[in-house]
Amino acid sequence: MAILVDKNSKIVVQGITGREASMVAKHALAYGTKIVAGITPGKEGQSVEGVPVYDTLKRACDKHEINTAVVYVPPAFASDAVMEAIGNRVPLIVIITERIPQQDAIRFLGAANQAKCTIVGPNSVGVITPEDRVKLGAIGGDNPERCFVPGNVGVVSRSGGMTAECAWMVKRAGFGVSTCVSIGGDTFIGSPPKKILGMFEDDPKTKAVVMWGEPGTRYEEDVAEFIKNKGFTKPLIAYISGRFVEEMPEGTVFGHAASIIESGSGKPSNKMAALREAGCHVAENFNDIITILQKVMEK
Amino acid sequence: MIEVDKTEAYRGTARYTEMEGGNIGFFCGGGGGSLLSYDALLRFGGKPANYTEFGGNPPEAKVRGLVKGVLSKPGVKGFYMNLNITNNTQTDIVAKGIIGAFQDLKIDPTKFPAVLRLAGVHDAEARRLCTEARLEYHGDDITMEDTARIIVDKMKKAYPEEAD
Repeated sequence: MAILVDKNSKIVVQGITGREASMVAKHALAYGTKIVAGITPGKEGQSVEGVPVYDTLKRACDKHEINTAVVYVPPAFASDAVMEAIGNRVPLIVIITERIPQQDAIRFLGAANQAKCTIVGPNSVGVITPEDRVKLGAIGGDNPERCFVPGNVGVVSRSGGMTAECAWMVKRAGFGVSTCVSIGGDTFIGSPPKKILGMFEDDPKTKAVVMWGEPGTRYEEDVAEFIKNKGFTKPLIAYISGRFVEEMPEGTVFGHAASIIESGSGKPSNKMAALREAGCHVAENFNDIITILQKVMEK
Repeated sequence: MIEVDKTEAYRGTARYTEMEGGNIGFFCGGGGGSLLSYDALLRFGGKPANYTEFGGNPPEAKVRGLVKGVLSKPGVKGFYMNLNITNNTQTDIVAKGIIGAFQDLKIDPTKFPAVLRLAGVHDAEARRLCTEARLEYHGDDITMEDTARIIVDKMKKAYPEEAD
């Protein structure tokens, strides 16, 4: 079991002939991930690492069973690609592309909601389920085993790089990960942490979750609320970064676009207090994730 | 705020924000990782002179220029480099840039407290280069938080008179 991706994922890569997309496809295939098709308009008939390329998603869906799309299309055209995936009723769409205009994101997130498609991202580094050797996006690179070992701890992170570091902490603690999700650093994303936790709640494989948080947005506050309402009842270990940002002039951006404190809201210390109040284990130091996890998993 | 080389954005982005005072040059990578790096440094009593975050795959010359900028602020007497593991940042290129900056500014890494923690693509080569250049290198042997403790301890040892 897992969330979002497992051995039943049948994956199409939109924009597969691009430089980065083709390299990432190569790594995923080498890991054991089943990419059934790729889409690049005008390049039908070509193949990338043995994966057939089609002009449109519809043509690929006519030939193959597809339930997962990974979007690698440049920002100006990414929205079209996402809408194409929604139009073809692909249930899971993971958007790797960065710098998609906000109004595009708002539009396709609304459309996805209507069509009941799940979107992860934009600006996600990817999703990985090590037990089934499935990975979407660059996450894990050409050596996923280094940080991602199979196990029972879920990871959800606002930072792509810290998704791997958190999974690494889980490994250092002596455990493994069920699924790791990089939700994306943009202001408007398809799956905020609360949504991912809801999925982890229903996943029998996941016994605890490690969450990486940052300044800005209401994600962590929403998680605290969700937990209070019993939406997520498993142990949650959270680290909220960027405490120093509270001392900086309001509106300055450090880190991701969404990590901005405005009108006093979005402060890490408030997030930590809210999560603690809801019964979460909030790590004061990043290294504490290891000791807290060991204690929690002992029970 | 200094915007660094927008024309080559696809080859790596960077941001430099000068802080008031401080004696540790801060050069960290990853949006999230940099936040952690700064928090941890403050928590252990370090005094960063700046906040600099870089990402992607900056070419060696860009890294060199950035690090020289970081090290050139008056009062900077230490160097702290922390990077979360990534899938595309070539750590050997980053290491070369840092080593080059130290050389250009004629900074002796055996006397100037410095620590680098970078893991990922080509990190065996990064380790080799740093060891050769006598710059303290760490990779997957430590967590990102450990790096902060290391530089603060090195600063205390090098400048005992400045300890609070």
